[in-house]
Amino acid sequence: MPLKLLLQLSWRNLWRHRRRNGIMVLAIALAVTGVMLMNTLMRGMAAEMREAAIDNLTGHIKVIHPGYMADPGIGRGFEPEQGWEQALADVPVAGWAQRVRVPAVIMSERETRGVQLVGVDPAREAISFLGSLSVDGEALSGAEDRRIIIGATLAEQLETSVGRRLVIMTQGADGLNREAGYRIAGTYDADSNALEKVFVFTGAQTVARLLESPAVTEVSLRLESGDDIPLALAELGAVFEDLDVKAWQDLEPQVASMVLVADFGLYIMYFVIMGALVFGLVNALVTAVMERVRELGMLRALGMRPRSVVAQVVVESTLVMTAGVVAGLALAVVCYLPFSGGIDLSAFSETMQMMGVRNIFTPRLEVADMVIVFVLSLVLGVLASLYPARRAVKVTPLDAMRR
Amino acid sequence: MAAADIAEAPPVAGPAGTGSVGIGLHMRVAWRNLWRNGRRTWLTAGGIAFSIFLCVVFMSFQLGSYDGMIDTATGMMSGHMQVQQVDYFDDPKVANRIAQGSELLRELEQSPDIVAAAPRVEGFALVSVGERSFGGLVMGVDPVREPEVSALSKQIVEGEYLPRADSAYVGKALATNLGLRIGDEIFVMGSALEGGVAAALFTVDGLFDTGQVELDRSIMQVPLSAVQSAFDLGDSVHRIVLMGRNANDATAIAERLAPALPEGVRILDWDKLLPELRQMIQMDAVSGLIIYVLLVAIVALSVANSFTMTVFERTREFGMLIAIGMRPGGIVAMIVIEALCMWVVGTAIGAAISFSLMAGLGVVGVPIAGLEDMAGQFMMPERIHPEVSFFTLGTAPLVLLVGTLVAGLIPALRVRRLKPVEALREEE
Repeated sequence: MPLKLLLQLSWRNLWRHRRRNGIMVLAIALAVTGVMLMNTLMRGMAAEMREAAIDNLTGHIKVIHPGYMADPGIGRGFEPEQGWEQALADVPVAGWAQRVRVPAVIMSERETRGVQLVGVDPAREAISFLGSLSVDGEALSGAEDRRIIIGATLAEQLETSVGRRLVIMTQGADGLNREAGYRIAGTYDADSNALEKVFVFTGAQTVARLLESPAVTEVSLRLESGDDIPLALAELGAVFEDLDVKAWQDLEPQVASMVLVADFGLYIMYFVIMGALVFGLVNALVTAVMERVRELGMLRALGMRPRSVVAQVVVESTLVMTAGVVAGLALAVVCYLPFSGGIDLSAFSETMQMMGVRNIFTPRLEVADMVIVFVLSLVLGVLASLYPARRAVKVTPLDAMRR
Repeated sequence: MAAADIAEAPPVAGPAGTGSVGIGLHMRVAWRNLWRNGRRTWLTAGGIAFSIFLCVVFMSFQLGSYDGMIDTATGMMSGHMQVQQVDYFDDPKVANRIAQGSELLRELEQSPDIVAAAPRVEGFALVSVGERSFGGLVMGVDPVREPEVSALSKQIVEGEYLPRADSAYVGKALATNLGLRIGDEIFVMGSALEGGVAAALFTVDGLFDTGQVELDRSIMQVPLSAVQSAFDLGDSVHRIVLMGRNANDATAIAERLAPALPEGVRILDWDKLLPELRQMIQMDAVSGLIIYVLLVAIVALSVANSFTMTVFERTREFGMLIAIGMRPGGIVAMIVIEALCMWVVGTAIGAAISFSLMAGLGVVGVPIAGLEDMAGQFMMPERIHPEVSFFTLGTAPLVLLVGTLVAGLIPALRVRRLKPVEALREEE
């Protein structure tokens, strides 16, 4: 039977039972919208966690001493050769920064806290959260800046403020304690209080002077595209032979596993919800077949092939599914658009911060996921029609006459 | 199609004049009607069973994991409740202390609601060994009481838990960084109460490993009295950690205990101590709820569809029933009873499978394989015991009962508009 005729026949059959098929389309649309909206939330969450992790002084790739993770300190520093970045000529790099990052103790007149002292070249920090910080007071002027900036929360805890001095104590490369006083240039507001409590920034050369070492503890890179990570890893590995060149997924395994969970989540939710739906779909299709026993028998008597009967049921099922999915996806887009700019989730702020997500949360509706849902639904539509189609093929002209 | 069933069905007619039939007869007729199209009933009931199964399993695991999360999180350090000076939670500095610590501790221990109580003193200090040093939180604890409120003492990997008055219990990560071994001396220095210098010498007698490197690197425990004297705190404490019988009672117990507390001191339940825990549970519960609502809505729609088909197919039959004197209300009732029977079948299957599965798993628990990293970060226990309760097992069936009845009722209401003559003319 020509496809056009097949489609026409199935289409008309569907319209013979508007209410029933309308309910099915509604159910499918509801399911698809629900799954897609949940998915946009999960995708948004995963993307925010990934961005926050990368922003959080990690970058796409970081070069560190193999012993640094277990024993962070300038003793695990290194001196990158001049011009190492030439090795990455064929990978588009958004930016890179060399930093000295050591655990330190910071003391005000009243309080003492443990922090991470980070020596930076502010001009290079557009690649991290430091580049977009709002600083109360003054930001660091350069790698030579001898002042510090600290988190607003830490300033509160230390009962100190901009312009006052703090004493920082840390270990030099020889393991001996170094201590020096620094004036606070400014306090910063980060998305997370945890960041504010931990990171104290100053010029890279200031830290080098305190530690009496020209070494850095990390080189962090941000690429133009996350897809280039494997290539960049390989090329950097050749330059920094004795060092660890790590992708963010290795440095932040929890975040990486959350991103993975979001990938699987779509499939799990889809099959859970659609599983419940298939019962209803099969039901409607079988009913449609059983109502048409006379008609199908007659068609067979007139010479219609069993294959065409099967095709007709499959096409009907697929049409219902397609209508439902298209409506569902459209509804999902409509529901998503008002929130595409972001949702204020400050009510859940502590959890969000713990998971590295900002208060303004942006859901993400990804075209790739919509395509996946669409294709899966077509497959499911065909699968759901198998039993009804088999039932339809079994109808013989004799059955029809007996009715 | 079971023609025999139709033949067997007794003619539906009530006592003359009333136009209604007894409920027993209704039930029998409805039950037989249901099996006139066995395939459809099985498919619809299958949908009900499937979604009941999913909802019960998900809900049991979800709630079970919350209890596990709460127990793990509160059992690690915070306890079910804490008594603190009013400002200490927001501003944990040495000066924000409870003055008569031991007296208050004794009073709290006498409360019948409290199973265990332990005092703590905390101060930030520089921990040094020879020339190497590290900043961390020094926690003064009662070596006897502390193990009853916190799991940290059980995470011991080497040595003993605070056997002497000058013992220190140190994280393995910190020990590695400082090059410490059991028996080594460490010097602790911080800011004491009145801005003076707090200093004390301890011997490392035990090492712990919680699996969270940051935590292991940033805290150490030493005996309470040593910290109290080093920080000039006298009998003061910063926290009195309390355990009730069950984490879920914490809020109620805290409310009962609050009036008896001295001025300037307050009690916080774990809800307030670990706000991120409650929020995480709420967020998870909301996303779970969306799935349940979708599942129930979709099944309700499929039941509605099934009954729409049924009602259409039986127009003739209904017309005849009305023609011979049955009230439309009686037919509506019969269809609703059919929906009820459908629900009974679906629920029986879904509940039988899911209840027995949950009963088994509830006892054994399910390990979270491969997620140890996340388990550590998100305060998850290593095994989830699904919660088996009326709520987790009963909610889905009951909500679906309402959904099914409504889904049966709406198409059934069409019967009231049925004109017997037209209905009888309808083609079979």
